Amino acid sequence: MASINYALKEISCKVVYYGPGMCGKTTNLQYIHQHTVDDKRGNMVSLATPGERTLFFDFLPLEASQIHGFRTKFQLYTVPGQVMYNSTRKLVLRGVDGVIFVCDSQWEKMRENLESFRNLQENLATYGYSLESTPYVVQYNKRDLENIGPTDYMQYLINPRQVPHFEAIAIRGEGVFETLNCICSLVLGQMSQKQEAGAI
Amino acid sequence: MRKQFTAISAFSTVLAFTAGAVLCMQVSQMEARPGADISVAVLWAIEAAVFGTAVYVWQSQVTVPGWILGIAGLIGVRTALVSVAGLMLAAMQETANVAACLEETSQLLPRICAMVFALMVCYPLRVFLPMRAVEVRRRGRGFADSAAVTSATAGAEEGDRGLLIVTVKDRASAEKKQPRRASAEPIADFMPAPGIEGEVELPLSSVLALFPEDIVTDKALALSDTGSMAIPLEVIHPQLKEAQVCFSVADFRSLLPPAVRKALVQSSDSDLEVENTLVVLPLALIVPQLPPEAFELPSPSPPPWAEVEAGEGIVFATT
Repeated sequence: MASINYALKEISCKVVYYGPGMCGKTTNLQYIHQHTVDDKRGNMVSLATPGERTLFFDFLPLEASQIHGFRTKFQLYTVPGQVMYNSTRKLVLRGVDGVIFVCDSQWEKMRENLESFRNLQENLATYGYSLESTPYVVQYNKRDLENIGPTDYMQYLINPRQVPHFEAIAIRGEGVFETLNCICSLVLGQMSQKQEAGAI
Repeated sequence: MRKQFTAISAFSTVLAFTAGAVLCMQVSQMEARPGADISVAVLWAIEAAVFGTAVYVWQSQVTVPGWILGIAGLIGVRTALVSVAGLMLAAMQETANVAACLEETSQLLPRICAMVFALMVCYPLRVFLPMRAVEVRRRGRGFADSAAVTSATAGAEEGDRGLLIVTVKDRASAEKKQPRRASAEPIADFMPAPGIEGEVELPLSSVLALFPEDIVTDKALALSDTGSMAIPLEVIHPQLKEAQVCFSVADFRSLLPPAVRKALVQSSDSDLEVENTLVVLPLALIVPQLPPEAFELPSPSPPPWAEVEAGEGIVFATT
């Protein structure tokens, strides 16, 4: 969970990129890593196979601009999308503050998107979290490909609650920072709300 | 594998018919004449009941017309057996009174004998009975319950799965355990949804390309070259929420144009595996044809966190 260190005037939040295999989670992180100023980011840790499949998870620490005098740090994680790495996905979700659910827009990936979204709900539930209490946004990635489904249908499948959603081409950076900024704003907004309620 | 009417089936049919005719003739020459007082109507009723039961036992998925056809076929073979036996008897006795010989072979005992042999003759022919569509049962499967995960986590304690390294061996064994199938598991019943009207047109060639190869004949392929098939939206719509539209081969048969349906290899009782094979239709062919109301979303119900005022508009900016 997010932590606030009043002595150091520091806020730390955890954001997880979730989605089916090969949907572009790592690509999102790589783009963010390449396009943030050096002194605001740490090293990106990534353990991937030669086939560009994330084996464990990716990690990128980022520091945002000061917010109300507090240094705000975000730890960005991705999960391995392949079905067999569910234990790792569960592990990465522990203490999550916000989720970016990355969908692959290709027709043949629709079912995988849906299964992954349900898997996210299942795994959150194991920690007593839910999408009712955890901020999340949806990113429809790979919009530059030809064999993609309409966002109307993807909204119908993945996002009937109509939380913020973004079309993206992560490999070109389109929609990457928009998605990140949105989830970070929501996480900070929720944190602010909790602080006012005395929960933090 | 599909069981078809083979040369061996044809041989056994001919053999059973010949043996049945000879035995009927022999039995008709017995002196004992039990059941001579049983009325003809009762005999016909018993015969129809026995044959009807046999057809149902052979092919429980038989259609009603197929069932009637089966009974009629058995009665026809039984009649043919007693007739041939009567003719053989007349020939052996070198008598011109064929009617009397036919009367002889139509008595109770030769008739029962003919019924038994009619069943033997027709048993290999049961593969030609028309079958009705088989309903697909729903079998839900959780993402985390897939064969790969189950295999990889087998033997691990619930709390001991924090870090899981799945080896290539695990993957291979998971693939082996997963039953081979032409498509994914059933995700929705073949049940129409009320209130959604319209049809989706699909090119027949695209649909038949998804069928198991052993039931698609060259004739069916030739017929499908230019044709299309219509699937009611009401049976597709319930599956759209699952991001997968699939029907079993048996379900598909009822939706195909009659000419193509007849051109496909017909099913038999032993083909349930083939008939239950799921054919997954490409969403790319279906979704673009659907009206916007098919994806109508409920009124927004934002979670509590979405209602809070975001702290900062832009947290990060690109370099």
